[in-house]
Amino acid sequence: MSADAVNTGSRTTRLLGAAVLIGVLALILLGFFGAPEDDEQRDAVRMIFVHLPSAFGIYAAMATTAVGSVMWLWKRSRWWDIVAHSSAEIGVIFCGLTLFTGSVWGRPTWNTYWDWGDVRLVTTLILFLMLVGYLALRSAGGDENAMATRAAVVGLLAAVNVPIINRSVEWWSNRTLHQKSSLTDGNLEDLTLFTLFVGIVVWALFFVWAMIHRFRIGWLEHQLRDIDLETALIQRRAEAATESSGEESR
Amino acid sequence: MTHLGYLLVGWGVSLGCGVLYAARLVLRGRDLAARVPVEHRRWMTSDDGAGSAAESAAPDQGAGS
Repeated sequence: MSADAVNTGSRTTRLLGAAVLIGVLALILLGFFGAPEDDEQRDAVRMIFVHLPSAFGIYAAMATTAVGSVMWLWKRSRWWDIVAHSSAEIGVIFCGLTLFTGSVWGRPTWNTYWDWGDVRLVTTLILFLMLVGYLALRSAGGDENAMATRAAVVGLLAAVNVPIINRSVEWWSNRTLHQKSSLTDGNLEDLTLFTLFVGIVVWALFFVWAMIHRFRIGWLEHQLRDIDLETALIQRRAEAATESSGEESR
Repeated sequence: MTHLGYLLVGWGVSLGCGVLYAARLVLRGRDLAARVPVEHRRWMTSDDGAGSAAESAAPDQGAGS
């Protein structure tokens, strides 16, 4: 590639990207050919290797958004605002994937794609819609600081939903099709558990990779807005100077 | 293998979304980086690998690289 080519990558992101690719290959091999089938669910259990890491990804993304939002409200630092925005965007993808893979997994195991009575499903959908609203608010335009403050409040409200999602299977145990905890109930075989951890690590590495790139994009967008504003001010001053010199010469 | 259709759809959509989002990030980053002057490109590197110095010298508030 040419030396002129610029991008948001760096040595760190290239290493992370390579680790994610290798991890995905390992996950496919382990998930489809290594881990044994479940006695009850048969091969449908293999959906857990993409579903649960996506759900963990939501937790990581929302925790980052919450920290970024609090720091923006406290310090008014653009750096933290971009962190919150970046992680919310990645969070909406994880949330969408969790809902989708859960729905596809639900058909062979629960005999339904969706159950409106399941509190975990509905609260996850609410979180997804809140994150979509967060991103819509971000793209609405207007004063950058006011937009960041409004988004930070929505981000924090959305983050409050996460512990509710997590504990819902215990708080409303009679209103869910979900089991209590796949990781701690001790029903998973050793290789299944290992594959699950591989999946969680791969998703975590992807989250970090995407966060770095998305943060840099947000930073560049902010720089461009500043440059555009500066250029417009210079042009306006030049126009005003031309007008005043024209009036003086008359 | 049982439930292969469900597995392929679930895994395919998950990995496909990851690939598409990653490609979108890389392309958007390239587009923006080309439009921002060099002095404003903190944390940025060129593809010749000359970016490690900029990366290590970069952020004043922690992560980002």
